[in-house]
Amino acid sequence: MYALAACDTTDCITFNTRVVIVEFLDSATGNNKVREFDLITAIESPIVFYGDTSLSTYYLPVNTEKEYTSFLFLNPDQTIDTLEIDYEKRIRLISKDCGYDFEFKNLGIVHTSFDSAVSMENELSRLNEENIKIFF
Amino acid sequence: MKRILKYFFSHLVILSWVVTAHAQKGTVAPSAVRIGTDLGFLGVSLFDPDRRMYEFNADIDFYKMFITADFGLSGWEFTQEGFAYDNSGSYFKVGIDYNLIARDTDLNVIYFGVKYANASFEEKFSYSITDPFFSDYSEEIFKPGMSAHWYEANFGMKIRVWKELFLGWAGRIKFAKKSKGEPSSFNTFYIPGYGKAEYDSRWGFNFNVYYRIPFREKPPYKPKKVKKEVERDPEDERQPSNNQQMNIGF
Repeated sequence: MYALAACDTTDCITFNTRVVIVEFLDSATGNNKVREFDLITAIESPIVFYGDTSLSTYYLPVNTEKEYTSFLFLNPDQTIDTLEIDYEKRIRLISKDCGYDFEFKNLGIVHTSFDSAVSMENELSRLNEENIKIFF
Repeated sequence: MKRILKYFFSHLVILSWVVTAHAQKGTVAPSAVRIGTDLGFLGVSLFDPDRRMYEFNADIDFYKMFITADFGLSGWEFTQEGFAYDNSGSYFKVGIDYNLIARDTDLNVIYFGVKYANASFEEKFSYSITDPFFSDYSEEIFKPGMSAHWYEANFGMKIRVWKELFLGWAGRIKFAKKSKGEPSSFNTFYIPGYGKAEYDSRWGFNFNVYYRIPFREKPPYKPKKVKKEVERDPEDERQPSNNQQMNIGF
């Protein structure tokens, strides 16, 4: 019995993550395209996730207290784009020693000011390549 | 608790009917009840300050079979940095074991069998988060009135060690688990008597001590051959067999 219980510690490895991967693509070719932002943050967050950055893929943390997060993207021309997503949060206790983590499922786009945004993977996982594709 | 007793007795009545129907063929009524407890669980309760596990076992013989019943109490509470968990509940199991060595004169048992199990429990999980991206917060989730049921296939033995004292072990696989409860953001972690809830099947191993309380002498098992000879028509005894005829001929 103790031997079986001890095996549970190997389950500490988890692929769950709180990070949503947002990828920007060229609407004409469908290829990755760098998008510059002066600032990226979320309405409920006191900190800036990215400042003055040019990337094609952004890794953004979701709010674990709520089941939605509203991201704000400040463009170089000082206009603001928004991306509001919702999800189902589940708490999974792994074990006494490993602790717990969050599972985020049924990810969806509630509202966005970007011209075209598509939700790809509806579960947040470290194995995902992207969760949301934004074409511009 | 009422629900547990209702399930327990309804399943006991069904099992009694099945086993009694079988027993009538051999006209062997019960001779003893055996009661026991799980020594492994007692060890866990003694040495793990987070856990309380007690299981009481009973069986009663019907011919080559046993009706078995188990009742368990479970509690698991621990606090770690940033989170705490509390689970308490009870469970029962009823089943039938088939004795592979029914002729054993010491009444040892090597058996395989099946059980139906049902657990009622509640759990509480609380945590606090220091969030580097959003505001710090804490949450407490209480899940009362949870229940689960499953089936078990088991194999084991009960060996007489001294007078009416028996030691036994059993290996079992638990499967076809289903659980019920109010929707919650916390995934059920532990089911008393089953184990970690996220697994669809679980292996288990038990080490028990039993005391047998006989209420009548157990009649010896009657082999089928003997029974046939007793039931043979006396007229047949007067007719010589083919072998006998051949012997006379020579």
